[in-house]
Amino acid sequence: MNPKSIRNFCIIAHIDHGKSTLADRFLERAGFILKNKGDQVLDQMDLEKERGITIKAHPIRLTYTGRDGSPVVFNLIDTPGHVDFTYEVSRSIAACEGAVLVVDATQGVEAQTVANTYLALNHNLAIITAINKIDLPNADVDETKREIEEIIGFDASDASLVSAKTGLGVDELLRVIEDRVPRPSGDADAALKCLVFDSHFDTYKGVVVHIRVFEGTIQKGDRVRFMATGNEFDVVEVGYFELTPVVTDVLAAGEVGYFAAVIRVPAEVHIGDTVTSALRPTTQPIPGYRPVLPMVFAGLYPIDANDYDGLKSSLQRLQLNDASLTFEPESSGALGFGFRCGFSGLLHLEVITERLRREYSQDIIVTVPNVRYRVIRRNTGEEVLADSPSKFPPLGEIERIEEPFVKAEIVVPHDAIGDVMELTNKRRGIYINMSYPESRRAVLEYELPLSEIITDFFDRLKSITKGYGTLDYVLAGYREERLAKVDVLVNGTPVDALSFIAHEDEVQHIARSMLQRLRKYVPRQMYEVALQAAIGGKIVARENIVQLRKDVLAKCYGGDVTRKRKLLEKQKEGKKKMKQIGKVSIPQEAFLSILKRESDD
Amino acid sequence: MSRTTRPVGVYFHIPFCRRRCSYCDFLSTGGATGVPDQYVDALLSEWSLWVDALRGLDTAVRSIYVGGGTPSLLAPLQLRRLIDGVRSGLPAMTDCEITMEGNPDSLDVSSMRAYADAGINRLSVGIQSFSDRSLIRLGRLHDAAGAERAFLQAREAGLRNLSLDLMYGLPGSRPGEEIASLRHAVELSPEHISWYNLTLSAGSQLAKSIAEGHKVMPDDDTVLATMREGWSLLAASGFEHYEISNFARPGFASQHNLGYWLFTDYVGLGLGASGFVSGRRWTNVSDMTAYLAVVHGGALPFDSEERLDGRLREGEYVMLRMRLPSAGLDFAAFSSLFREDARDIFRDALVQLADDELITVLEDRAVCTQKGLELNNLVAGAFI
Repeated sequence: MNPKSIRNFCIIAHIDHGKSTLADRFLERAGFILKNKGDQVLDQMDLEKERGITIKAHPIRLTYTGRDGSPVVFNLIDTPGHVDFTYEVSRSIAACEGAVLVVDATQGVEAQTVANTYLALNHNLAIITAINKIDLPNADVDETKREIEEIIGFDASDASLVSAKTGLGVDELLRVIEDRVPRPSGDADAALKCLVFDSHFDTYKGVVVHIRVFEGTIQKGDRVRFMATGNEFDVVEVGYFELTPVVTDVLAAGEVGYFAAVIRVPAEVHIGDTVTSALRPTTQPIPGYRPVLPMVFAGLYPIDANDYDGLKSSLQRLQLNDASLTFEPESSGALGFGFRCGFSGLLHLEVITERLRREYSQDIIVTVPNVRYRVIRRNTGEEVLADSPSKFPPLGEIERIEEPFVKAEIVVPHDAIGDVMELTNKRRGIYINMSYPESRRAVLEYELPLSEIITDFFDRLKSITKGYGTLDYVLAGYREERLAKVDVLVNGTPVDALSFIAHEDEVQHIARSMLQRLRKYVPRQMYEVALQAAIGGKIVARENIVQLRKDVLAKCYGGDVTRKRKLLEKQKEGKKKMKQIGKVSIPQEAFLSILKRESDD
Repeated sequence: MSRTTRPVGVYFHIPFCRRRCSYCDFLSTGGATGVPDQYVDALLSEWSLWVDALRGLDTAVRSIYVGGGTPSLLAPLQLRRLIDGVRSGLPAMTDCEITMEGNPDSLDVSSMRAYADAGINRLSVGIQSFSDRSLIRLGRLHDAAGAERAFLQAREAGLRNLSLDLMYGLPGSRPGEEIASLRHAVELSPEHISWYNLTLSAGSQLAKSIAEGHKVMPDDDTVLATMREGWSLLAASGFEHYEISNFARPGFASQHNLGYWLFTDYVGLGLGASGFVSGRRWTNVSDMTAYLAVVHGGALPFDSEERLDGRLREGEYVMLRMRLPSAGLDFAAFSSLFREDARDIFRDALVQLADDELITVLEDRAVCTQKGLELNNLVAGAFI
């Protein structure tokens, strides 16, 4: 295919600003018949719709008639939209030459849009501005243009005006994309160089790798090498995506598509990796690759021990489509048998646990998430990598504890700098640098403990900056810190699943607020329940749950015994969903309640 | 009457009130001045649908209970029609207990005489409290003096089996106020006292004002203290604590109420009424138009019904039994009904509950401890 006829682009938009609807119009213009009107094609998972985040990118090839009457091929590459997926977004963006920035004329510019626009600008993408929903009576095009110029900082005078819903202006926008998105450069005769920007698992084909070819060609029978891992495979199929995959002979420089090579282990395919020819490899991989590292670890336990195998096979199935999920068996004195799972971030953890509950009907308990610590033993100097508090050696045997730090880049509006600095200080941040790429925005560079940002740092940042703050981070090694393992005791029995690691200066405060939250969720029981937090046997905080003293239904109106029994059955059903720690019933919510810090004051 | 004759209770629901009380979410229509004849006709038609089935089972009426709502809105003639209707359908036991509920504001000597003539031999007076400020808060139409007058007039009307209905755990009660109210009731020397902890019903006016913060429910510890004090007072005054919320002088336990807890059959008639016959529980529709239409069409107006079998039936039996402080779960009664030994079937639950000091297992029965009565839901829950 002539690369001159190709346009590779993505759409950047805030939730509900019409990305999916616009994509549907593009698909219709390319001649696809969409079966379910209103059911947008690109978003696949319910959870994505509900949370307004796109988890999996989904490229699609659209063919139109160009200005000169010859076919022009658009590759529309979808982008995920949350901080936990910043890296994935950057890889999708790296596969494109252009981006369509969609802004809702009734809502104006939203923060997430700004972050992704800057990501696109950093990759030198041509940005085409489209103001959507101009058919609505409360659309304010002029104000929206003014906001784009003021907040994002580029000229919006020639923005396309569209209504994705009615189709108004869509044809014109397609022309603008044809005109302004640069044609891909790249030599089809050079050594193969493709960017892996996504993958999915197919039962018959194995891992299907989504690629953007930058140099050379790829076809069936080629032996290819993944540069980051060194693994080699024989290509058995190449193709591109329309609504369904379409097999083709060859993909050449400039094209977007997929290949399959009987890759059975999804974890072997890393997003951002470069695929080249094994026989004639390129010397330089595509820059920007980051290995997928699980950063957050938590125990997942079935409420009912009999569901262990079910949980295991559910995790295995989830892992097929999600290389960043890791898990290994672990056992807990309090919770029995379960799995230690690794996640790319807290949102990833939430998405996975929510999918386990909804799609796989698994009743699970999630323990307090933590990062992977490095513990050095006294005397022997032995190093223990502990991704769970239970892997910590006894207090007396610990020489020192190191925790992972990240290098964080925080982009904030200038008027929020003070508040953001206060937040980073509270989170033990180490100031590195501050710069002003333009007058209204500052870029703060900090080193921060990973453990401090995996909880609610991003939420706090968003609220301090009214949504405009952005965060990107990379691991920057380990640092020694004064940390302590805090055990939680229920009626004197340590509940290993509730143990957590905290900085010594914050131990008191965190332990107290955690016990207070726990207290709210543990129902009154027949006995007084003591909740204690302890470091190596020394109690640092204590809360009591007074005993249940009265629980009796007074009346049975007119002999309605069924109603009475149903009430008791409901009570009992609720109790079944709780975990028994000795004689104490602890509901799932209690474990969840301690995941997040409530506030910083 | 043969030895195998099964006792059956009959309940009539009268869903009409002059005014709806603030704590009530029970089926009733406020603003009524009487009960339409059409409704009484429907009750009798519904009864006639049961008569054939019950006659085949060789049953005899053990008790009739006219509850509400406000049954004292019934004209004496209407009441007579109901009682005669029951008697003409099935034989009644010689000591058949016939109770009517009444509110002090719609009772007087002549009406009570007329009700007694119509056939009732027991009256349950809905006093609720002898504190005027509590009565106002509850939205009742009578005051303390009116309550006492109604009681004395019932005696004057010749009623020898009287019950007083009172509540505790009311929002805004002053310390000692509820016990004083109970003492007042005790001093009137009724044969029976029902002393209920107010249950907050989701649909009631009271629940709404509590949700909106206008009223505050007393905390569990306060209510518990009141409950213990009241139970002691009643025991010291010669009342037998035969069910969690019911107290009677020896020989005056309500036969109809006991039927609910002892698993005997009862037919519930009327709007939203519940019944239990031959292991089948049902509840009638709660829409008046639907009720009248279905009954008029010659069908039973069930809204829901369920058949209790196996463990569900046994569990429910024990759940109900455990509300009887001294009778408790009688092992012999259990095995004669289910042909199994409760000590085998419920071994784990009995051991656990005894371990938790919620019950005491005796030679012939298991009974709740004081703690088991206070935490009766935990006891009942262990069996279902």
